[in-house]
Amino acid sequence: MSGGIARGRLAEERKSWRKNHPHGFVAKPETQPDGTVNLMVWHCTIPGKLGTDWEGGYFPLTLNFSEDYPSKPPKCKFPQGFFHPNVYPSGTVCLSILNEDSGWRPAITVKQILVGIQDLLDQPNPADPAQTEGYHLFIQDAAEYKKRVRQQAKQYPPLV
Amino acid sequence: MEKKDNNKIPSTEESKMQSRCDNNKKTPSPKHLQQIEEDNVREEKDFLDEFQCSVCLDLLYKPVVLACGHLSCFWCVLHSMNMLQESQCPICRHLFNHFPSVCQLLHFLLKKMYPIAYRRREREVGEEEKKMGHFSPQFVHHPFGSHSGEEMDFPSNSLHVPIHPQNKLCSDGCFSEEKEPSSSGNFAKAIAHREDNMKIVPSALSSISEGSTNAAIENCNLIRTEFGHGIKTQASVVDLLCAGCKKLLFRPVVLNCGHVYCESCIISPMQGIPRCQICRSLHPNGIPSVCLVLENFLEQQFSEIYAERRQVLAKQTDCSSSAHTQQLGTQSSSVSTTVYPSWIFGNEPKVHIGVGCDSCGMIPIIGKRYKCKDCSEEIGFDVCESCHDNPSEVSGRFNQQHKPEHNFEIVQPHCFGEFIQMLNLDHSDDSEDDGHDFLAPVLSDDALQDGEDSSNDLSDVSALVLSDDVAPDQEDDPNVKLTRYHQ
Repeated sequence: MSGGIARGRLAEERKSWRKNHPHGFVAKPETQPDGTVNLMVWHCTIPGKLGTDWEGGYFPLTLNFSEDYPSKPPKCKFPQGFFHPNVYPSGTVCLSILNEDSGWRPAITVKQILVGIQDLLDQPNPADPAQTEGYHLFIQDAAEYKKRVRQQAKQYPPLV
Repeated sequence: MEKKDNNKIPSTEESKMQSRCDNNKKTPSPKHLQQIEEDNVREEKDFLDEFQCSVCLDLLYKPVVLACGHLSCFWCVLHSMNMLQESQCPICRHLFNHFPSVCQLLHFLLKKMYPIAYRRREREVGEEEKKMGHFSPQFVHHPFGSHSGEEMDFPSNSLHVPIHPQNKLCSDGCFSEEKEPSSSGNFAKAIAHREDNMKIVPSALSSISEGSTNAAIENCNLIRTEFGHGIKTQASVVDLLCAGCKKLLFRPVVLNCGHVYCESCIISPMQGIPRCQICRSLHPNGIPSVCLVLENFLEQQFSEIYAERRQVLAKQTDCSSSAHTQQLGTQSSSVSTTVYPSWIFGNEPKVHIGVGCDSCGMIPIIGKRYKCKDCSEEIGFDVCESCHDNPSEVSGRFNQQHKPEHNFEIVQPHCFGEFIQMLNLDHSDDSEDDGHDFLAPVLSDDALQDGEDSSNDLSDVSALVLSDDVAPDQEDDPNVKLTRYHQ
């Protein structure tokens, strides 16, 4: 395929992240066993928003960029089985800005993606469910849903 | 300053950049050292954020301004375009179907303001283009302003044999450009242009000198500021003149041909779609919106002159009409969405997927496609019906050496089955139909993709075919794909 703008863009993304990024977030390209950096996969952490049931959780997220990035959005994955109405059982996040056909624009930065996903955690979109468990509890049993969210936040304590 | 002669004395930046290039090519030096070196280079930003391309996040290179007023690099726009149907602005998703020409005014402005960073981009993109074998258009600067820049090559033309694209990237001083009007057929035209230039230049200068803004301009011209570790040259008013009124641009809009006008000079509420006064080409994407990046820059750089222009124009025009044009500016692209699927079924109108018009930039071409039989470039040269019938001044999106005496042939669009076979054959290096070759990389950028999740169904068959194409290792029997489609 074409020489690819993907790596250049990701190098710039990394530079801009190092310069300044939202508090509590982590985003860094994967380091391979031989010590080289793989810009195409980023390991990130999204902190649950303060004052929500997600507070206290530091949720690991992997961004997989393709050679077509930024024409195509990265695939964003939480761990498998992550509890959230808009996260597929595989962990893939379902969010309009990450969907090439609806909201993705090449101008969206890694920063915006991560902040967007942080927003999504506490504001699920019931119009676009991706897993049955999270969705059903969210619309049918608010108390149980809340409990599950808090439980999950405890599962992902801060790494430091 | 140390940067005065970059050719003789390799500046620190140059040598760093050299080492950065080496990094990419694997040098034997230890990994961590490379990393440090790379980071040092990358930490130093050699341009202002306002001229950062939001796709590659680097300095805009050969900027293209879309009808919505957003701008991005030539290759960034092209790569984010959809070859099967209308495209979306990479910044706001505004629909469009014409790939605009490079805005030469901005090109030369950036080149002047950030000479070091722009040369770095030129080198990087140039290497990339050599790898691809496809080239962006080359421009020659006009000393008095950018609008007439494209025709300035004329005097040297008779002396120069067309230069091979590869060589064109080596120096910006040589007379290489997208058009080579050296043929006798073009001779008269070229002279006409030259006369145009002669007219443009004095009027531009006189309009400046008669204004009360003389002192400000002199200041602008003389100031050179330290920027980062390089020198930033300040822009002057002459770099930013309207192609219509020849005054400092006010609320700049950029047409599909890349020429820049004040909004009030080119858009009249009565006429609707504007025609460029310089190259006479129609602007196909509805009424263009103001390029805000450029407007902000103008407002900052020339706040006094800009405020004056605002006052004068406020007296002339009533607010209602400008509100009206703004409304029009946000309207959708000029081709209706419904025509695109016709390529699947082979209906009218004909949609030439993956083929763009080299004149107006329409991608894909809708209607008749005329393919040049004499252009030897791998990328081919195609025009749409209306551009074939009314040849305009803008031509050669990829630096093709197309001549007016070349012959065209009408080419039929590929039907869906052929298209799939073409995609599959791509890997066996079949370059019989060269018109499509340059689009092969871009095709993977199209909007057909599986849904949100890989674990979900791949109901979209075209997506299946295309994504298989992207990952050739998973390639299986082409027939299987076709059967899947027919299910």
